[in-house]
Amino acid sequence: MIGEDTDSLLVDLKCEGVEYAGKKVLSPFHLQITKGQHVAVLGASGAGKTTLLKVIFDHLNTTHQKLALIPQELGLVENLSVFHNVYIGRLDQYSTLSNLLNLVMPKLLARDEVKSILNDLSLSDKLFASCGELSGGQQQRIAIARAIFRQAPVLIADEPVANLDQHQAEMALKMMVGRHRSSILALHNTDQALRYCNRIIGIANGVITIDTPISQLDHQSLSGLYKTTHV
Amino acid sequence: MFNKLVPSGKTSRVLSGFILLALILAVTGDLSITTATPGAEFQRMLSGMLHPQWPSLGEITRILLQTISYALLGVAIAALGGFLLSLIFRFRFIRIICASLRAVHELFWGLLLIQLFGLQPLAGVLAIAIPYTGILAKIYAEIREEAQQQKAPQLPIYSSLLSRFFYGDWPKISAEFANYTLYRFECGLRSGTILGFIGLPTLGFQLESAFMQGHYDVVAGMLLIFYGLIATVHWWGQFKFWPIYLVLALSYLWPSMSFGSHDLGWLFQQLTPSPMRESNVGYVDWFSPIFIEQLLPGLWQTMVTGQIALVLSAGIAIVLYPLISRHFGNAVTRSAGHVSLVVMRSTPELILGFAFLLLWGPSLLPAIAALAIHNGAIIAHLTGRHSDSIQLRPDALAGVSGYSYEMTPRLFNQFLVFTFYRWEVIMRESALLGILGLHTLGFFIDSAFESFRLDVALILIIASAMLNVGVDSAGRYLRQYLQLPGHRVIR
Repeated sequence: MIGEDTDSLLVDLKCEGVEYAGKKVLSPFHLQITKGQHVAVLGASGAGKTTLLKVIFDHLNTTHQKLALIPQELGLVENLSVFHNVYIGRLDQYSTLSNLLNLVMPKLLARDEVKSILNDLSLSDKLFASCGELSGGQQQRIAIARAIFRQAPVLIADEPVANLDQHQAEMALKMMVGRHRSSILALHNTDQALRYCNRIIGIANGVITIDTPISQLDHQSLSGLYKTTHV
Repeated sequence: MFNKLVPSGKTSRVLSGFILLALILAVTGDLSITTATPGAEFQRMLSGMLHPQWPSLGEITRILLQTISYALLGVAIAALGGFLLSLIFRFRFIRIICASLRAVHELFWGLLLIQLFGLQPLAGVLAIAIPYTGILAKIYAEIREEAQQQKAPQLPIYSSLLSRFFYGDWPKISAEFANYTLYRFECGLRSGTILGFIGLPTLGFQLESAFMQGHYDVVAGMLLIFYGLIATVHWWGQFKFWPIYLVLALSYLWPSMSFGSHDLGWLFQQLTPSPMRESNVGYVDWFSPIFIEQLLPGLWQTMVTGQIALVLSAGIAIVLYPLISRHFGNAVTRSAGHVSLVVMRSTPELILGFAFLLLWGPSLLPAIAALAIHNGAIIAHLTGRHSDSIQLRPDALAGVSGYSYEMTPRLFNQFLVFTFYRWEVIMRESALLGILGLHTLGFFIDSAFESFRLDVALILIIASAMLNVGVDSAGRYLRQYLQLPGHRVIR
């Protein structure tokens, strides 16, 4: 269930809680994530999912691991083409000179690779379209492509499929989980979480209320998660 | 919201102060028509304007190539320098340097550089490049700052600084950089033209000599060429052509450029106040006549000219802005309005001032009229364009009532922002117009150069720069005091 080398920890994080403007957003927790795990973070909006992901991201950054990130606001560069936005995923892998040349004359190899990723996300016809001109769903898929192009072992994504229809969402999740050894995904849809991840963390009002492998979970126990937040 | 429609007490007080001051200065100042027959001269001018005389094709080509090359090389150097300085613009020291570079008019830079390099292209190119570097550094830094306030793009943390800049910031700012740089190129064409007035072989040189000889038909031809150049710059001046143009400009000016003959040490020695060079001259003996006979009267006349011109510009603008506003008139009147405002605002003050000087003789009047027409048209253009963005309710009054009850109150604060923004420019040009012979600072600066008293020239240039910096901060202070909307890039 958990992957080949179960003994190696990806995240071992003791957090004292997070406050924002004097308000408690996240209660203290101790979180361990093993390599190979695909963790779905579930909870109603405002429950603290984004904050939890940020804490995990910052923690992983201190360990200098290669990470791919899809923030909720996507962080695309609107005036750049789709190709260049995806290419940004590997900006730190190539030399500065090669990056700058690629702005003027796209590298053939990178172009093919980007195109094939976009193809899997049904976006390959938009390779050189300007990013800002595309719809919200298309932009979301570009951010996903950027994460995949990065080829990082770990992916952190905040509601990466929120704007996609069911078919696209399934395809995207399959790719995200399939192309990263570990992933931590904030999701809305419990069904998707149960299908693509192997561990579920549920948050309500800043407290981690559920943390179990999916084998011990069903829709019933998850629906409580959403009820508790509606106080 | 509602109280913003009528000038508040503070605004009325400040405006009354400005207008009263201008009136007092106008009554007491040296404003008179000294020529015996201004009407006859005007008729000669008018008939010349109606029958433009074209120079030969070879001559036109030569003049255009000169003018464009100066502007192009000057702006290109300034864009590069300004870009680099904009990266370190957060340091106070750099900001002060840039402010001083742009506080000195390009023609004063020209006069100074001609001492160093002689009458050759290098002096003209650098005369444009130096002050424009100061301007572009500031604007580029502001554009970057604004872009950084937008949401940050998601970039891998360990990518190099340059990669992050060109993938993250550059796409956001490049369009605005390009726009503003092209606008500066247009200004550079104007600067290149008037550099002819201090002897460099550009369009202004031919203009000045034709004016002097009273060949108004030749003047008319030159002016039409100039308007054509400015009106079409958006078409031929696009960035994609710049690499070719730069090569052409360099190879055109190269043969007449010389880099070796100048002596920087000599120049610095000449610029050093003479009491520091010669032991027999005392500081007080040296400075007090300069201060009493040149600096004080020069500063005073510059301020008189500038203050009257500022109020007149504002008056012209508030009357003329409806000419181009979509809320007034029809398509025909608006096109006519656009054409007249374009002609008024593209003609450099120096050329207007020269024409008025020939008509009315030497007093501050020609300078004031030139400044008021040029800047009034610019403020009218900006205000009119702003009025287009204002949405009135469908049953709003039209015509004169609409103008005075609906539109003008609504855009008055923005109009004041535009006017205060021109204040510093008007003051800088007011000093410059002295080189035509009116007794503003430019006159004394020009005379000091002519008599090779470079130390005096430097003192006077510094005085004019300080005046500009002072007026600039006074304008900023008034904007804050009157709680006017902020502005960044106005053109």
